[in-house]
Amino acid sequence: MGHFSDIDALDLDGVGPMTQPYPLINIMREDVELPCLDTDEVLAAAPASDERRFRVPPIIGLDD
Amino acid sequence: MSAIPSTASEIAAAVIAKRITARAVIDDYLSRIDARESEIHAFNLVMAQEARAQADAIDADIAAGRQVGPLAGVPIAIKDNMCTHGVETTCSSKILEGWKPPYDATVITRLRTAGAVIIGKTNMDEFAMGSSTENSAFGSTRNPCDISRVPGGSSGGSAAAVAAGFSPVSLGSDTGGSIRQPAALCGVVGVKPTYGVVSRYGLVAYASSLDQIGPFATTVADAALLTEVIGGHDPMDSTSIPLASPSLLPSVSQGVAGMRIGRVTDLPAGAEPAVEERLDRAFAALETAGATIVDITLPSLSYALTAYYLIAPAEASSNLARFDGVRFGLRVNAADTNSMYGATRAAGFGDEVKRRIMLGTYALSAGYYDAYYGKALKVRRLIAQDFERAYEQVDAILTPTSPVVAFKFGDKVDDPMSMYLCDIYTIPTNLAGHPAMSVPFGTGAHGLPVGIQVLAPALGEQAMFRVGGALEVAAGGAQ
Amino acid sequence: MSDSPLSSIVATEDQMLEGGWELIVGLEVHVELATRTKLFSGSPNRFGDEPNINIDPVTLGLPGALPVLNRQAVELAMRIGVALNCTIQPCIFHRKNYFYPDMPKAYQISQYDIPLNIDGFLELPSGTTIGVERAHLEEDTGKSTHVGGATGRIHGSDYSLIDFNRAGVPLVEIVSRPDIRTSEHAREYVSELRAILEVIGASDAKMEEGSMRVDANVSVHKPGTPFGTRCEIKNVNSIRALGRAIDYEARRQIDVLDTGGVIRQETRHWDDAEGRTHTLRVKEDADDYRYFPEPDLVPVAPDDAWVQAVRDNLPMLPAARRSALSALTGYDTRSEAIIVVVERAQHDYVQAVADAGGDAVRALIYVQQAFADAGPMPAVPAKDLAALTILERDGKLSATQAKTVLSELVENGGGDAAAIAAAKGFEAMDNSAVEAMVDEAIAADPDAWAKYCAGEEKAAGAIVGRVMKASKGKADGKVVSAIMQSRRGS
Repeated sequence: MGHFSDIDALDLDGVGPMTQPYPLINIMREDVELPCLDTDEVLAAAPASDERRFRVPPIIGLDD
Repeated sequence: MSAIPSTASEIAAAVIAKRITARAVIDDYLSRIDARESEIHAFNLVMAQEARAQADAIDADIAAGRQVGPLAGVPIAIKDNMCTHGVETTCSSKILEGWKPPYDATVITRLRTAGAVIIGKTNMDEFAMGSSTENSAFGSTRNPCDISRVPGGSSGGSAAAVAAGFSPVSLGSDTGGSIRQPAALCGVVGVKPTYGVVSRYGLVAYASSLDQIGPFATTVADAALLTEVIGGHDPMDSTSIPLASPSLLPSVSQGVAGMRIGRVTDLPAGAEPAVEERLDRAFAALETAGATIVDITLPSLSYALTAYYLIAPAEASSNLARFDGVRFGLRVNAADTNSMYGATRAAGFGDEVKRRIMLGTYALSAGYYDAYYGKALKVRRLIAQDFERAYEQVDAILTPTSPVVAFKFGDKVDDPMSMYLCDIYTIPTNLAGHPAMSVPFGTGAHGLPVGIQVLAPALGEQAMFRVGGALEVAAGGAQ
Repeated sequence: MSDSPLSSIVATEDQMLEGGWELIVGLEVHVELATRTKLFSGSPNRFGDEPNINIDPVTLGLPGALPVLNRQAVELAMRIGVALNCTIQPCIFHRKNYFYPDMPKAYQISQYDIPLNIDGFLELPSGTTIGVERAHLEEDTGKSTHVGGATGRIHGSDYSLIDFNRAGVPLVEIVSRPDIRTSEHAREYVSELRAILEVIGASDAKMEEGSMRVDANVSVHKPGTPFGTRCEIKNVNSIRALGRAIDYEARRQIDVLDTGGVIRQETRHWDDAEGRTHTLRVKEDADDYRYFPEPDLVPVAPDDAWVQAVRDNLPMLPAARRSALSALTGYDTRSEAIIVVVERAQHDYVQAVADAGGDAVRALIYVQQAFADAGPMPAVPAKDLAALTILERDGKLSATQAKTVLSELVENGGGDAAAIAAAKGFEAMDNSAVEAMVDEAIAADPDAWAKYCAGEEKAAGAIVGRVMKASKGKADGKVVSAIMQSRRGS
């Protein structure tokens, strides 16, 4: 992290952050159904599945 | 039957005019791959069967008098981080080895509609993180100009495929220079369009606000044609600019008379002498062709590398979190889900990927966000403002693409900083979201290719292709 | 809840808990929006389908997938904002990063420090105003079922199964300020919120089905001291359970503090069968979600025209209906009659009776008393009910008689009130006849009268009973009471 010391020295108080390179706003889509994926194809690519669901080991130690 | 042409535009014209069949074209390119691929290793997957079937379908369409697209019969190689439905897409990572996406990236759909024939998926640095393609989990790709040297990265396979003649055109992705730098090192044309011109839907994300898909080609005109085909608004990508695909081919031969070309006088030093010499010759050539050279400064550029290596890993750490063994890809079994995550990612990710994920996680963490990621976003705006000021005085800017010519395998792998410096001239345009392209312009040390980078303002592709076209003529590269 | 300025609401005397404790409650309510498709992709937003069929690359978090915002979700979120008196502002999305198997991208797209709706409030029917800090958009997760354990919970399970149908469904998270001081108010808040959400078409808001989920943040303190450490209560699946859970948790915390203990900041699980909360997760440090602005989405800035359209098209809300009924009848908005009638969506009906010439007050009372199961469109035509109210108002029927006619109207789905009354031989007695009966009753029961005159209101019953018996129910109870009071001189 020492390599980042060069920007530490900069005074950036008056500068706004730039999260997006091209300024767009209000990009939205209409509430219309689009085709879904094929469940069989998707489950076939799953590491483990059971009863048409993705199967994972017991969920211990994670945020609920 | 005529000989198989070497450019996309010629192939399409010949196929549409029925001078050659798409099948003949694809067979020819497949045989070139057969001859030299074991030496180069440009591909993770050669799609011989699918390609022949696609070519046959194009021929059938033409025979039946049905409409075909502007790339009819043109073979194209695709960097292995773009989703191809039912065809392995691995990002050159063990964690996606064998994964077949259930959908096509938008660029793939557009290529197919245009009649292009996908010939294979190309090798890359794992998850697009690297500048030499040495970070691939499936072995390196060799530079066709000198097989003891790297092709550059991360789109090394796509660059090498075109340089070796395995495909007239290919697609790569560019986040910090990953199209332009390998293009320079392999002696081909590479284009990164304006951020938002080409849809990212289906491109496996590395850094979302920096990634763009773009073409490799042997000619500037082919690169322009490809950009036209894949570019334009896509409703599946919220960051896609709501404009139709730009018209770019006419610009290629328009010349640079009356244009103002910027020379950056405070560019970070470090380019090899031969590279500097090539840049000087490029400026001279453009001046001869009627352009005016204007000295400009971009003072914030010296911070670009730092900003990039905070923003890109930060976004990547979040984008790569989905590789958790739950729904697709590699899973290393464990007693509980948390352990499964750890084991899967430890086994599935290479060292450079792990390094950048850790760095990115740190840059976003509570207490450090403002000092690192937050600050980097502000530096980004400074850089964009520098460019804005510069483009009031000039229409395009020239820099070297890469400070060095192709280096030998192993030269930089143990020194990440030295590897990161390969992108010093390319990174600023990703941060600003501007278009840039690399045009081969002679050779440097050891007779290896040198690329000159043309930068233009956002949506300035036409200016960029004008300059690129002129450079190509000056270099003696165009027909 | 955020760390924004704490509440300025102070509990009243009768709201305080035993021992001088003040209860502080804030509610976080997640509602599923009633859109056709998901928040960021076009697969259906549908409950109850076969597992993993409403899926697309975005829903599954597949490599290369990108979110695109659903305009209707923004519309509905804005309706919620307007209905809750919020400021609607230009906003952005953030990524909230954490690992969980039902979170396909390992981050949730939500809103962090610049949400769509801020600084609103909700007026409870009983009159208290509860601040609404924010109401923001976010995507829902998939659903996990745990197999092998005893209770179907994670603890002791052999494995878990994930269904992503629900992943990506649009949610609005409504966060109240910690202004709630009683469990009754908490229930009222949720009930009123539910009614609003339904009326504006934003959500069907059914706790039992999971389309509205309520988490309660509960703490206690002694007034004049800083707010206590709060605990978050989850798994509250009905309004009734909410009340019970808050009551239990408040008592639990008071017991701990009374015996010199310390409240740990934690998330607790409400067990409705056992009637208690258990520790789910201790929150030692705030979780680090590494929030950063979502680079795949662009800012949303609804223009003035859109906001105004939402305002203009918003249907009448329960609070406005209570005000309207208050203006119509003169009753207080907090009166039980008005609260109940609006809750049942019968305000329009009462207004219709008034429009048909009926007496508004009587209409309100009749509807409150006799139309509990009638729904918003009672079968009894408004003009029929109006006619009955007039008969009673004009003194042609006593209150008791009117009630009988009312029952018959309800049973028959309408009718001619005057004719029904006549058929039953109903007619009101005139006042002088009633006066005479009252005097006779007083004379017949001097003890009761003496007690009544001494101030024992209950003693009136004996006198009234005699009068009603003698008049065969024809005397109007109110008239009798009035006569008795004037005889007593009070």
